[in-house]
Amino acid sequence: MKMLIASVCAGLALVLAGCAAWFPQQGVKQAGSIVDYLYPDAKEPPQLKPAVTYLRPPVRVGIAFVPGGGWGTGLPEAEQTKLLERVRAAFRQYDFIGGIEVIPTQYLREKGGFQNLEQVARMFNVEVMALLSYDQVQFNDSNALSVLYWTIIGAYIIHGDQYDIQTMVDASVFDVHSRKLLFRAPGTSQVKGSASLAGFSERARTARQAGYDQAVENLIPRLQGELGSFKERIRNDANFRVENKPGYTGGGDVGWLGLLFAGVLAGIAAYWGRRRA
Amino acid sequence: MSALRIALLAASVCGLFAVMPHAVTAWLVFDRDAILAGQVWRLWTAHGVHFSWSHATTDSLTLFAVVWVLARHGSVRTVVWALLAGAPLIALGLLLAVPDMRVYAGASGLVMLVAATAGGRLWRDVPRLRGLLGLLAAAAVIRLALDASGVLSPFGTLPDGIRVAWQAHALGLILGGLFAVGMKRPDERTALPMAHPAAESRP
Repeated sequence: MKMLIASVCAGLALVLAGCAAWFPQQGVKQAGSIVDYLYPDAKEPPQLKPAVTYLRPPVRVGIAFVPGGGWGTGLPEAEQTKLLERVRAAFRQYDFIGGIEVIPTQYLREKGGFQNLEQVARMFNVEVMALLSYDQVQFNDSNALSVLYWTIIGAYIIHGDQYDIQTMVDASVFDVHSRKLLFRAPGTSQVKGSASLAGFSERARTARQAGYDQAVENLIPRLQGELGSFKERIRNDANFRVENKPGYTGGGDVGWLGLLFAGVLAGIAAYWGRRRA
Repeated sequence: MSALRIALLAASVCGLFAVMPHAVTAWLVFDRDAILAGQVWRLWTAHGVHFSWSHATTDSLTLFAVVWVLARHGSVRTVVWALLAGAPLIALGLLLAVPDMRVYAGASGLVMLVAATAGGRLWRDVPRLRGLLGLLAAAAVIRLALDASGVLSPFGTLPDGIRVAWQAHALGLILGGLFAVGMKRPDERTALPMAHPAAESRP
């Protein structure tokens, strides 16, 4: 009899310990890295020669997600489309941006590098590419309440597991011809929460989605700000030159400075006319 | 007509075009293909069309100032000739010299032409003002060089996506210089009354 009781206790202990061990304690990482895409297997930092970047407004822009993301098999198509449309709307506000092409990720080859980027740019007839990438890391930890999982029912009602999800969505804008990074804008978020053992997976999935949404909300205003400051930068930065594209629109503009000069000329003429009179 | 009236008239044309709907100004603007298809009125009307209110305001006020100077120190007749002959010459120059530019609008080419004519006139008639006029001419040339080199002026009024047509300014300055050289002094006109076309027609 003693032997039977000991066997039952040992078996129960093993089963309960197994319950606790079902849950994967390691974190989750999902990323579509722009570095992996543009600089695959890079052993040395890229050597960019200092050169003038020529921009020919209205500039045609392509927007695409970098390949190689892993949200399961990748970021859901609906989420990708939603973000691409929002980025397109941010670009559309500026007159120096011409056509905006949303480029499906399927056209970008994993670890394709700038060669692949140039092929796609030629295919879609764009001069500048906005590449969207994201990086999401989920850390999982158990708290002191997790000891109550031993009661079995505790695994369903006690929030003994915690998650900490950090997300970064990044928009990097490259001039395809010079391979120069024109500007970038990041959007970040951090979502923390807890769940019971039984509901952890579902809660964590919802939190990952919420983290992504918050990062996108954070990205869009920053991207608009960067676009505005880039517009100012090309006016003053000697590394950028604005050139005319065939079929461009020209305006005869004397500007406020011209008005000032004309005022001076009129003043001189008026002064001399009065003296002569 | 007084100098003030002709200056107001010239500026008013720009103002009138500025309040016209886009559907109308689309028929007035310099459009390379349309001009080559025979819509020659655009050679004149393009100089009155502008891309924005601030663009129209600066150009109209500047045109007012320089036309007033030329009318006061030259004559109203000179102003009318400069505007009517200069407008198509600048537009034709753009048509030939800047094949990449499809659309153009703005009065600054004419402003440069009238300013150069007036400045040339003052240069010839009032030697004491040559220092100041030389400074203004140098400033105009520097501005032209900055526009040509692609360095955008922070004082410009063009909307994004529209480039300064510095070639129109250069053509205006050259034509204005030629007009100033060709203009007769008032004393020349009085000394040789028969040379004046108006005088020839008198009984």
